[in-house]
Amino acid sequence: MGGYILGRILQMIPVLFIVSLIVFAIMRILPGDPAMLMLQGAEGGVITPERLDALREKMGLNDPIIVQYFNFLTGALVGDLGESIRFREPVLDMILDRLAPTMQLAFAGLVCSLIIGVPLGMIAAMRRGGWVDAFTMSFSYLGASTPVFFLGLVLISVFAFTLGMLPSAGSTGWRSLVMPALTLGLINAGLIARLMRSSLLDVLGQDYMRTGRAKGLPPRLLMARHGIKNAMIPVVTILGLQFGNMLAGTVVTETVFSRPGIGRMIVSSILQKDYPLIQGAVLFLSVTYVTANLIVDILYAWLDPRIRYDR
Amino acid sequence: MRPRTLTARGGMLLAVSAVALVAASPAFAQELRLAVRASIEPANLDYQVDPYTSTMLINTFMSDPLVIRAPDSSFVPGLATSWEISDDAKEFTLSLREGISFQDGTPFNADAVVYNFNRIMDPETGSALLANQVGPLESVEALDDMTVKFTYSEPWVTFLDMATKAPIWSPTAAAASTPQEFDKELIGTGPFKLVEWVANDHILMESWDDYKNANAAVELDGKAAVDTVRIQFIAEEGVHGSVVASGESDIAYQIPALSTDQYTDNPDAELLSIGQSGTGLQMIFNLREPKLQDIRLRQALLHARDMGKVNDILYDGLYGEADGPLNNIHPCFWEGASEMYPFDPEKAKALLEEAGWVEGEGALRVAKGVEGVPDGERLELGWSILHHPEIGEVVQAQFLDVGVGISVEKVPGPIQLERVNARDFEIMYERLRSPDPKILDDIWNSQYDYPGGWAWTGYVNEDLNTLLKEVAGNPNWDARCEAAKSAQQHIMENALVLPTLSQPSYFAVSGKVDGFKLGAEGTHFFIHDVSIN
Amino acid sequence: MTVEAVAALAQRRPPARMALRRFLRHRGAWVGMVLLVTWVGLAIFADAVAPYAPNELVARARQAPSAAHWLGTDQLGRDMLSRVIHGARISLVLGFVSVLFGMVPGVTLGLVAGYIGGRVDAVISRIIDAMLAFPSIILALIIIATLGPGIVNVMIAVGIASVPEYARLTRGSVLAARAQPYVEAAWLVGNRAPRIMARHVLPNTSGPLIVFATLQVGSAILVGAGLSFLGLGAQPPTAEWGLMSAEGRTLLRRAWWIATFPGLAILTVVIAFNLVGDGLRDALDPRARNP
Repeated sequence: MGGYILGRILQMIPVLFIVSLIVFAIMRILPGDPAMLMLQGAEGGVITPERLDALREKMGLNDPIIVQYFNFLTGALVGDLGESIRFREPVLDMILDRLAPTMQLAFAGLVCSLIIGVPLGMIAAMRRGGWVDAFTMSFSYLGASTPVFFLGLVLISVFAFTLGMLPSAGSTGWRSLVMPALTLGLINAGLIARLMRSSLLDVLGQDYMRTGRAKGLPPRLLMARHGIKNAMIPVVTILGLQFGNMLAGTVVTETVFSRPGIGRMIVSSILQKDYPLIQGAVLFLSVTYVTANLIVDILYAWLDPRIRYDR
Repeated sequence: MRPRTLTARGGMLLAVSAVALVAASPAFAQELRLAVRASIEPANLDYQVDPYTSTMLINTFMSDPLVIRAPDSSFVPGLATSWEISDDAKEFTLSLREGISFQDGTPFNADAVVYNFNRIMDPETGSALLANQVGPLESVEALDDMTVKFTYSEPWVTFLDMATKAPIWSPTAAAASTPQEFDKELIGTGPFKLVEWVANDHILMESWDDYKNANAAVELDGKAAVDTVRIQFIAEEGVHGSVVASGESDIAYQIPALSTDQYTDNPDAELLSIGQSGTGLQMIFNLREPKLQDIRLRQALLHARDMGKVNDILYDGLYGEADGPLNNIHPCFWEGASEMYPFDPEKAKALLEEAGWVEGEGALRVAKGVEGVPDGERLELGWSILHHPEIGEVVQAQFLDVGVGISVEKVPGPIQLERVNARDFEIMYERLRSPDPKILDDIWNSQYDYPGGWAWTGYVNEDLNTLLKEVAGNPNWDARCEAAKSAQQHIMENALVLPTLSQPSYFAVSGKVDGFKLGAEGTHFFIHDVSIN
Repeated sequence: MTVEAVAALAQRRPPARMALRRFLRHRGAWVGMVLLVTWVGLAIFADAVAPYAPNELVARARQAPSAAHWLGTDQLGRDMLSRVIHGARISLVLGFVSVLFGMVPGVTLGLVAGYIGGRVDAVISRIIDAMLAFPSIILALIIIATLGPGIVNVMIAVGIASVPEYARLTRGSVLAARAQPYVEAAWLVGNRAPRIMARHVLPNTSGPLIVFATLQVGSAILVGAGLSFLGLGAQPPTAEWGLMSAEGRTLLRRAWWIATFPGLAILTVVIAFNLVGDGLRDALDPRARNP
């Protein structure tokens, strides 16, 4: 087990190196001159070439590419991701500022999808073939097929504007988290419900359940004690991957609900061509993502000793 | 937390959780909730650094500027009580207001002004726009404790306009920080103190107990009536348009025109609107492109558009008119522009025929003997904008009627700059906003035709440049305005620009708000006197 | 459904006829097929079916659905019904072409890595891992940022973003197939590598690929719509559903139909692909049933 984990961690190193190369390379290809961006405002006034050049020099844009990459990489290793062009703040600070709201959203979305998905899946499995089952399955397809932004806007229209129950924007207080989390939750609840359903059907057919029934255990107790617990295992193991999905979902959700967050920051930094910010944020997110996947893999291996991801 | 919150609802509040307590408290203290589009959220909250109009606006809540542009567009005293301008517009002597201090208790005086202007001009500050607006400043010196003198190397006629924009911060506080950090701890002389700025979310300010009026356009002298001001940045336009109607915000700044119907017959809210003088949402032609070198094609395009209809279709006719290089509400607008190119598809077709663009097999005309264009090439032009793609879409349909195709392309800011710097575009959006005609000089004077300059069209004409030099340099306002009008006539006669419409600022204001005051321009307003019933 | 789970199908592919029979018995798949055929039909015959041209300004803007305009008119006065019908063409093409852009390089990489093995495999695998280290929406975003917005670039971006998944899936299937006795036998009787790949390995991996690709078409349409929402996708006046819905969203309270009908169109077509994909999976592997 220890060797397996160590091996997986060592494998991450070349991956992350290639990631840094890809990120850096893509940022160089992007059109637009960051120094010009910094200077050009919305009201007029003329930018002299001298001022432009001084700024380019200061920003290190006149260095050879290799030097720029080396600076980027050595900085990243010690947690220095450079300074945002547009915001003139350390990239790491900006990421950390927005990490909490994004994590809150992703986590709340995950909880939402579980709260909706697990009971639905259970009911569907226990009433297999009935209308509840049909409803659950249709619902699961609906969720996975709705554009996130559209669902979010419909929720705003209903809960914020028509009913006036929840705020439509911002990240202050728990109430502002309800709708974004629900949006993400509804989109992903279907998957959880389907997984829970099939897993519970599987469990219900297992010998120990039959034995339990034969021994005359009350169905409710049997379900609670053995059925649900065992059926949850695959659901739990897929949570890691779901969390990745959630992170991706936050990109759009944060915009719809005007919440601060990493996804939205990346989108706007791309539009603004804020090199260091895109570089840093994408690198940060990739490392997080790789780490999450690593943890999931290790969990798999731990839960099911038959699985080994040998390469 | 304010004590009266606790006494008023103490018993009840004890019963609820701490989370609810924090969430509920601002509702009891008087809070002004201001909704602003997220697309204009500042990148740095200090206008000495950041280039955006919204930053300048927010700064005026925290620090009164030296000069104020009053709602009637006149200049009235701010931190400076009077000013003297030399005849050549090179020397400006300002007398400062006595008895004002910064929010940290340090006094406001001539040294503070000198410090601030040195900070703006310091390359370390990296001022994105204000340094340009301050211009060719030779020196700024304190003549005595309350008098400060600015000396320029050339006439700087936009000095007062600039003085309405430059925020003045506490030198002690600014010196103790860096330009990167100071925008989270701004200390000015204004009625509101910065509490926090959560980027992509909100700015929170609280009223300052010791405020003394330094703004002749407002009445407030002492602590403001509201306890806190919360500026909420909203990413969705549709949501932004509805937050006052739903009671989530007290004032929504610059809501979409099509959301205004929620407020027209609304007893609980008021709809205010004001134009933004400037160029309007104008599209400029790139004269370096062979197709666009022929004035007849450009004139044909001007005759082929019906902006009144565009306005009706898209905005219920609520957008403002912009018939020339300056929009119709600009103090120096040249009225002749309105009649020069009436909607006339037949004339457009005739001009196109004349220019060698003949009907082809498809819907688009093709070249036949057009200079620099191979015969048979279809008449299709790129239309690049940052926003308002819908205008392009309607114009697209109108142009199609005369056989001209345009491909509407909405590009992000950086892509626009890249295109412009490479001079690789055909019809490009270029808007500047200011009630001062100097913006004409920026856009049309060919001396600014280099990367970073605003002269994008590639039109070179010494007569026009001479007129524009007058616009930029004559200390006499009337003479400048006259020169600006002649310049506009020149530009229109040569069909260098395709004016579209002008976007007004719409404000939705809750009926609970008293004392809200619009500025002279759609980019500015005053909240000093606001109270909430 | 994870890539691994799909890959696991490779070893247990039942004969084609059995699969077809199972597919036809799948209720969901039928619903999906009906929806899909309808949309594809509308897409192909859009010019004949739609009452107006998609970009023509035919009436007053923002008219509610009526007998003259069944789905109303949009913010410019174009007929919504005609735009939704023509949009089927664009969105379906977007879905299929993105999948093609992802599948071709992805499968090639996976085949090469899985079949040749050794150092080639190690290098390709690391690159795949590196690409998988980006959440796919982020990868698509940075590609769009490089190429600029536009519908073709969306197809490229969404396609490239799915390359690593195809590669990983194919590589897994190839590894499984290579261990099969008949491949070893083919090698022994003198068949050369490309031939073995084409004859024995590729067909054996096609089942899971078809399933995955079908599901991907739906998700490509969804991602494309999301990119349009962020302003990075199709450009006006393209009748792409995501763009139509995104453009209408400001008017959701005043003219709900502008954003809603394209949203529903996306919903139904994505559901169709998901249903058909699941039906295919169940048909191709009865034991991995996940109805």
